[in-house]
Amino acid sequence: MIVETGHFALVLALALAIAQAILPFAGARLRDASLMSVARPTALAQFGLVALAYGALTYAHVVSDFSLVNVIENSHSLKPMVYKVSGVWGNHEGSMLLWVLVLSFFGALTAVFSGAMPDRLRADTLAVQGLIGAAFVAFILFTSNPFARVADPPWQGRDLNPILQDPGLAIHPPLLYLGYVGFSIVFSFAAAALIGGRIDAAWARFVRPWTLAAWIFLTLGIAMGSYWAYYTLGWGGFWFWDPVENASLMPWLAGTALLHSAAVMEKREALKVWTIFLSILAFSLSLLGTFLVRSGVLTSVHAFASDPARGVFILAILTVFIGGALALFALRASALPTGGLFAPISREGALVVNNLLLTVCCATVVIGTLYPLALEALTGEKISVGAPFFDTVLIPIALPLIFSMPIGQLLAWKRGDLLGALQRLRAAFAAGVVAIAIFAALHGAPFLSVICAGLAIYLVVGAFSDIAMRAAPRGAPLRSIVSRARGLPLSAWGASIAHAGVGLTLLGLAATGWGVEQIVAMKPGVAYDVGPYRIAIEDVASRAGPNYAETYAVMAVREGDATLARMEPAKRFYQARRMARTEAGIVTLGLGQVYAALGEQHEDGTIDARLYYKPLVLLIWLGAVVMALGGACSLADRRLRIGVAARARVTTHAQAAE
Amino acid sequence: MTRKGKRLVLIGGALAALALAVGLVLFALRDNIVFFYTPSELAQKQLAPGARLRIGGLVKEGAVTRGDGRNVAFVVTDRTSDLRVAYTGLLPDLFREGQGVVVDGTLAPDGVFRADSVLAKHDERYMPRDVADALKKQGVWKGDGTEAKQ
Amino acid sequence: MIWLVFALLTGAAVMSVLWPLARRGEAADPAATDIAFFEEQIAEIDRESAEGRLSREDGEIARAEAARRLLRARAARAGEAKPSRRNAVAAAAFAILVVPALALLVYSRLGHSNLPDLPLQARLEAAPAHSDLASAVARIEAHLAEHPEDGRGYEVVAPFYLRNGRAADAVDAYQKALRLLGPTPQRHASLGEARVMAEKGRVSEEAQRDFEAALALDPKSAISRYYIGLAAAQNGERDKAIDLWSKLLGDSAPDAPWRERVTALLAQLRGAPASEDGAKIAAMPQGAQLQAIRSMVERLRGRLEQNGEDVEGWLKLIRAYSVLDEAAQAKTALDGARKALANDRDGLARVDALARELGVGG
Repeated sequence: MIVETGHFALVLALALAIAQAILPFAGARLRDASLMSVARPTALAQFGLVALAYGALTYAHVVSDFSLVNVIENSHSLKPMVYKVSGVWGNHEGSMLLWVLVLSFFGALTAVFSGAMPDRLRADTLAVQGLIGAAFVAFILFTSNPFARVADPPWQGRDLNPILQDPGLAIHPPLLYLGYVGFSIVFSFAAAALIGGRIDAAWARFVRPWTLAAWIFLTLGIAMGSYWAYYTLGWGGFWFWDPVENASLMPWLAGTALLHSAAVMEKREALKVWTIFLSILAFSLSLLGTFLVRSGVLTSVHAFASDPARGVFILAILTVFIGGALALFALRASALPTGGLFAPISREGALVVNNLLLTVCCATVVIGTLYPLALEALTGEKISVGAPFFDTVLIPIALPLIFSMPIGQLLAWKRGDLLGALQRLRAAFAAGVVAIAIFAALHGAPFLSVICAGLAIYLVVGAFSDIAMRAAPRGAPLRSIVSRARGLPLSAWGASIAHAGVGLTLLGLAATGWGVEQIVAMKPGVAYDVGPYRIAIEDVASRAGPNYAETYAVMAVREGDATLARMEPAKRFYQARRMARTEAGIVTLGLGQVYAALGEQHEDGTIDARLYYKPLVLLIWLGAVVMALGGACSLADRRLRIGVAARARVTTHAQAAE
Repeated sequence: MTRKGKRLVLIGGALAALALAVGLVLFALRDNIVFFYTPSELAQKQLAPGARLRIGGLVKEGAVTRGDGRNVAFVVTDRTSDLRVAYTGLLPDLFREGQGVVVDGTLAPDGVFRADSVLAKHDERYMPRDVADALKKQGVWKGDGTEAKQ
Repeated sequence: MIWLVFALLTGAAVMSVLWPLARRGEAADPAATDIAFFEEQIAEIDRESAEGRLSREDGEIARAEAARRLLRARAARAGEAKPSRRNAVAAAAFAILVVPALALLVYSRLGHSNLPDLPLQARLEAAPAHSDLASAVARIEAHLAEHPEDGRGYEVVAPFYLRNGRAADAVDAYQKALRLLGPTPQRHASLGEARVMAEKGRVSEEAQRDFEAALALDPKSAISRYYIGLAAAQNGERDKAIDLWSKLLGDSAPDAPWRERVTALLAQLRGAPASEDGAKIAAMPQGAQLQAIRSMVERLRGRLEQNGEDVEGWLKLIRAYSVLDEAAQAKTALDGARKALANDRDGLARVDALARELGVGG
């Protein structure tokens, strides 16, 4: 009964989503306040129904109800409980349901937190969100129904795929979805603004928290996915330019550009058309990513079950929403009043540069991902576009972008003083140059790593120059500095922290150039040099795990004579699925890691192994966490939440009018 | 600066960035893409040695020989043509005779493919799509093949 | 009961539309937020000017700009149209009629309101202990999930796995039994045999090691000697195989069950005409083996199409297709059997039981 109730709830969600799309929209056109007010409760009810459906599916997985095809194919009664729960989104149908759950979640949040919004904007936004929801619920019900059942249930499920049973994989899809589906609400805001024909600074401020929230989740989701790939795939790589990874990177780049252009729009009513365009773009790229992943059009290690019918359905959704939004955009954009102009050297100008470079990066990733598809469709030739392509294009674009980040922070709105900004960055420049000298002396080549590391230090120091100048003007007494720093808006702190996070990630990336990779046939007892450490196998043995047998090596990581740590890389064999899997051994030393993966064992007792020394590698992900932290800081800035400010203002205003 | 001047700077900057990007993309696409062939397509193409290629097929049964150190020689086949491959390094866990592989590398003048990476199919039910397509075309690959899971 | 729940859900969904319509709240002043926003903006410009982050001149200009927008927003303040009764009625009608109708229509096509939840635990408790093989296996598996150190359980369940074509699971179970209960020649030999099944008849090196371990404990283990001979035959070591099998026959009792098969295999190896299909097939290389099995299965199918009253034949055919992984064929055979045995209730029951056990048809 629970299962069928969930199924019915999902069907009902479809019907209600249609109502949510039609009634408030009609209300906004007819200027009927009561019709418009339908938007909020339906958005909440919609979320409730989808959550009920999702809960029912989770229940079916947890109790191993094998009358559901989805449970038969993706679960097994012997799976640990955690993976029964995470298994719900570990498959196509369930992950689409999670997608819709997140979609309706953002709809509901908007309904709750939109008290200060103009009625029509809210009605149109939620109507568009309802329309997207209706399309995807229909997609789930008609092409990939997780509630499909069999009359004669088997006694055991089919799936116990060990690769999917991993905590990293269990958490990262929900985070990633919160990110890229989060851009749906930004898209809905943009569509609503275009429909209503009112696009102004207030709009930018309403959208700001949503863009930030989506961006924070996406940043964390990408970082976690990357770390998962790093420690499970056993190759020591953390980014493979795989289409599925690109699918999350594209909206991230567009979203980052959007965050910055929305700031210009909010402050100066400029870049309006562009901001709206980016809002549409960020979610369109999320949809494109969904299409690429779900339809299996690209070769990818993440490929889910692919099915042309699903591909066609998603392609249709894609065409309607992206095409519709762009058509609306073309129709309305020309009619928008142009905003204020500004000097090229100004905060706005710097943000324009930022936007140009970020969108170019984004376009590059799109081209690199889609070009092989287009070429295959046109000529039948199959190609792969990998890391060399992306490195060649992205590095020359990213470096000037990073260089200009602290400068942009120091330029004033409207008309900036470039010379002054550069002067105030003296400390940052000095830190960068010193860093270059130190890194060059310590590690030497490669040149690019040294330059990037210097740039990274410059960025971290430079990111806080603005804060430092504002908190400690020349000659300010020490005590006042603390209180001034506290008094600075959280959004300023957020920007500085996020920029510093980029610097940390860059430093981690630069340090990959100094890593050591060795493939050696290791003799037990003999120590091999890997970077500053020596690694020796102390023991090789076998043992049985719950559903696998493994051969593992106990490796000691030594520095001089002292053993710093031990790790146990292993090769596992999962009997039930006849699958082998390499478990990397990882030891974290400071911010760097030593990483070992086992290869074949030879008859003379030697064992092949890949040994890596990866200095500062943790910074790659820590940087992303710091970026997200900066975002959270900015999100916490109450002054920028229009609801709070507006309510206070309205009362004072009313009093003033009396 | 006049309004017009400001606008010109803006547009000029955008165009310059765009031109730079297009140039970079074209440059990178020319040098950094890798074509995917099956052994029989490769045989038809008569390519000059030295180009970077990606070859997909099955590891031929009984044709894997391990040399000294970590040198391995094997044959990739699509049941029509064979291609000899030389590789130095660790083979992936799932490398087995009769299974699908994708190798990246260059064709040496002696007709042997020098691989610098070998990817095996991901698990029992997964076959690189490139390989499955190519084999399906030739009628070698049976089975539904659509079920690709990770 | 379930329809009551559906009705309540539908009611809640419809109410989420009706409730705001009924409230007919006053429209908020659309300009209020704009006014608040621009006032806030002006305050911010003042703050920035005071901090010296905006030059006096630029601050003035920005302030004027924002003030202009503020004036415009105040001027735009115009009342929204009053909610109209007709619109509300139309919307309410939509909610009351279309939403439930659409939900019912779609659900009646996709849903199975009559199917209850079937959690595994409840099914195991409900099914009588001897009902069928598959549920027995599930029961043991559930037991093993709670007591993973019970070696006997693995030993009991392994033969069931083999019969169900789950050879890989059988290998796993025998391995665990061996680890938990300690080695016996029988366990080693069974593990080896399961490995042979998992490799579709090929005696792998791993399997060979198992048989050798069994022989080390019990040099007489007939099954191990048989498979080591088979390994030799498959590797083309004809003389070795003949030698091993001849000795095996010499040691075997006259009524030993493997006598016939080994004799046939020996005859085949020595070049004499074979007496039985099975022997021929067992000694063939893998590819040809499969081919031969298929042609045998086809022959059986042909025979059953002529004369469909052979229950054993049907069972054999369905099992064969399922082992060969040909689900569609197995399903066709199942349908054929059901049609041919329409009058044989016992036979039909056995066919259905097998179909359930193998998961054929669904």
